[in-house]
Amino acid sequence: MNKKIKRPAADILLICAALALALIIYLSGAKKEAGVNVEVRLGGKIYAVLSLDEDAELDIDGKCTLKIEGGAAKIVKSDCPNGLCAAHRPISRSGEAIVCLPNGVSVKITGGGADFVI
Amino acid sequence: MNGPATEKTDMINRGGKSGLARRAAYLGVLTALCFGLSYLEMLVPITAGGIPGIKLGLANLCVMAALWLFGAKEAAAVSLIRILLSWLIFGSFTGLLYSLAGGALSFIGMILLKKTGIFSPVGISAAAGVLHNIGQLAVAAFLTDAGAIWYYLPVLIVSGAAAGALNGIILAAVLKALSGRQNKNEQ
Repeated sequence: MNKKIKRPAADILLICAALALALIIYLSGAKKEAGVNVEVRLGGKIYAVLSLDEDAELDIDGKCTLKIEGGAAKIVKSDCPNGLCAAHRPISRSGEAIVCLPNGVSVKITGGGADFVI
Repeated sequence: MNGPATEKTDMINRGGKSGLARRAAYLGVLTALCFGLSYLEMLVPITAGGIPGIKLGLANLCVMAALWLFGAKEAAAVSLIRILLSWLIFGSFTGLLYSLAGGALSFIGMILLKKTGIFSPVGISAAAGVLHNIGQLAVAAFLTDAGAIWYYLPVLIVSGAAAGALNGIILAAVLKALSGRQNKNEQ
């Protein structure tokens, strides 16, 4: 064998550190309470705030279409190239979010005690 | 002969002009493969736990191969050319920003971790996957809503580590196969 001896201990430690970081961030944000409002942002600025309780459909600047139905929000249509935002499952819990990166659109559930203030 | 640090590079550079040709050929193939793999990944999007946008990061396999076989400069070139090609062919300007941020952060991380000499390709690749996703999310937080991005972070750290580790395992096998082939050619 050559000089590049594998040292799995260091690798495992590194990967565990990453997983621990993920867990900490998850726990810091995971308050699985039902949300109250849907905050829609365009380019980081608040575009609209809707109630999760009322079924509605919102056209976001002609880029994405947001649908609120039965207490959950979902992006049903988007003109972005990959359509990842429309593939996202419906969100309803406080802190959950859908982001459409190409369009700079973000949809976030707020209220219920888990607003992230960053 | 030279010290062990340049052993790998020598293997490919050896032989004057033909060494240069071999090097150009290797890097050309790696760059083309890099671009091909990143295109392939666009065709098969992965969704985990209802969250889309997870990638295997196969393109980084070629960047890492260049890093191990040649060096930092060559690997940076492969990565940058791949990103610029993707931008020219498919891209939007925001897409370019995300790629550059993810690519740069993971690249710096790989160089630093490799320098320590205590990690194998698996660990370095896993870290690269995590850093790539963090870099992209940092741009996303800047361009959209940081609070919303925070929600994606745990999923993308875990998926980045898993995909990166998988890439590292593939890379280790590729490096082993390539060095075996090189030795055979030398004899």
